[in-house]
Amino acid sequence: MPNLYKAIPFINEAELLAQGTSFVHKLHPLAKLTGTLAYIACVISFPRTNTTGLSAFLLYPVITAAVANIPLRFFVARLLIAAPLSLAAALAGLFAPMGAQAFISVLIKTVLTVSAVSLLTATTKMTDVDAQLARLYVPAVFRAPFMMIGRYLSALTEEAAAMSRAYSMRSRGGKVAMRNMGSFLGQLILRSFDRAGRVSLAMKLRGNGNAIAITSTAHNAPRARDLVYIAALCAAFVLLRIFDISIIIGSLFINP
Amino acid sequence: MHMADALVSPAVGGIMMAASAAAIGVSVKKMSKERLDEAKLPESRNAKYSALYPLMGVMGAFVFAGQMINFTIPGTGSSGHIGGGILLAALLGPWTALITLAAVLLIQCLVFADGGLLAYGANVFNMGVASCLLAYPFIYKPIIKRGTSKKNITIASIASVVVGLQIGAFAVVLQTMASGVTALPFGAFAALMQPIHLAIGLVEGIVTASVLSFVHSARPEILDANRSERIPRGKPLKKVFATLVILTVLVGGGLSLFASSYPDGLEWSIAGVAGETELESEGGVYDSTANIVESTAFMPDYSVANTDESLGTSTAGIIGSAITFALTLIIGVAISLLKKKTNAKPV
Repeated sequence: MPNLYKAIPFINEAELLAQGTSFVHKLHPLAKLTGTLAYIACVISFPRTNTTGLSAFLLYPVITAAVANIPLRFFVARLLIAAPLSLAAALAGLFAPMGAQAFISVLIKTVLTVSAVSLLTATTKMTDVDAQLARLYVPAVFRAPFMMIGRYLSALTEEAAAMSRAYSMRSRGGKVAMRNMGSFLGQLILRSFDRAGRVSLAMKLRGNGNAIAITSTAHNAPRARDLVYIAALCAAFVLLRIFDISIIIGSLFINP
Repeated sequence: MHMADALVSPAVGGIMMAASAAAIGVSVKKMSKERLDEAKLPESRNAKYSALYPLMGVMGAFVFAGQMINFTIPGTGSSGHIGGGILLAALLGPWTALITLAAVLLIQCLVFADGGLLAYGANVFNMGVASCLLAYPFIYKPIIKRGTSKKNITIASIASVVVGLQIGAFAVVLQTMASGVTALPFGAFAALMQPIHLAIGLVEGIVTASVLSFVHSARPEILDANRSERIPRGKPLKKVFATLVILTVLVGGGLSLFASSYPDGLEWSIAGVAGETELESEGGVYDSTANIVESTAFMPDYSVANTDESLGTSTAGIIGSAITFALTLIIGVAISLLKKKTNAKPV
């Protein structure tokens, strides 16, 4: 990611998608978190020499994304961040014995795990994540900066976006010229500072001091369907981990 | 230095998660104690931290911005970004810094998919614990104790950042090796990771030093080392915020114009090993996985699986994978189309 401005759509996209109302969105956040962790654990537990077994694990992100209406580009954008490192790691071993398999294995694992985490973010609001962290006895000292960073970062980037839009409208759609950078950034500093001050004041006025005390009430306790979801998902992952569906299907066509 | 889930095994991820959770737990305890010592007012339990939360938030956003910018390292064709551990520790104190950094890493993992969820513990350890709880108290603090001058700040910053990054980079090598995900030989991987992170450390150290020197001249009271001469209660925290926001915007907005598009240090060093892996990676780790190899061999020329039987199995595997893949896509498209159709119906 080259700069903060390109980060704006990233931050907002996940939060906007998380406002959805699909079956996946309505699931208890803890159920989704458990499912995601189980999925990642199963995927990365595959040895680097096994590539066929991994392909069946694509079912989970594809089905979940389809049900939750998450567009493909959401995943691609996140993969572009995570892929280069994994790609380099995989490429390094490419010429070693079995290197091709290790390469494909790391590549598939990256796609699958990044998709799973992206899905979790795209279907769960930040406040819900915070509420679940509270449920898991994560202290407020950790949760408050976690929420605060999100707030300050988006306050900053949104101001920047508004300013650059205004600037481009006044300057025939051009980018910010170097000679204007000083006043541009100066303005941005003032605006950001004002914004942060307003956020802080607003919180104080609402009786929060400066601490974040926003917890979601939408998901108080996991319901029956959440438990069924976790059980079904975990069972499916373990089965797919043990039995290589690809080999089984392939054996129908070729007798090994 | 963010490790993806694909680079760790569940066991390594779990162990590192436990280690980092313990470190965060200790930090929270220590922070509570420090705050309790300071707080004289009979306020609610949460209010003791209240002034610190926005500071942690803004500093977190600052590090967040800083980590998105890659610096080109002269002469190597590589680039790196700041870890920010020492910077945070010098401003907030090591315990608060670790918690803030852990929050930053969690946001990066969730919002940007930068760094894995199961690898989160490993990332907190490599980038947070190594710098905040090891390099800061054992390198930075002893030097600064001799006096907070610009010279001391510069020496302390560079030394502690370099050491912190070396520990972190070595931890990455150990974790990747223990996970057994890549075919990289240990020696070659370490021999490339350490020097490249030495270079990154020098760059990051200089950046950290200049930022801390600036803060030292502008608002010396916010440096952790100057806490004893703390400003009297009631002096506006606003100016502190303004300074931090200015730095955040400058680093995030200004410097990013010059940010490089080279791969970062970890990528560079792993890619650099590529040439050597051919020579050194025989037997060893590979033998132990021979059984699995046999049933799933992809390229028979390279593997022990050269018999007709296993060739058949691997062909079956490939065909099966292709069919699974196709089926998965069909299911996905079908659900999407079905949903679109349902949504299009007039209510």
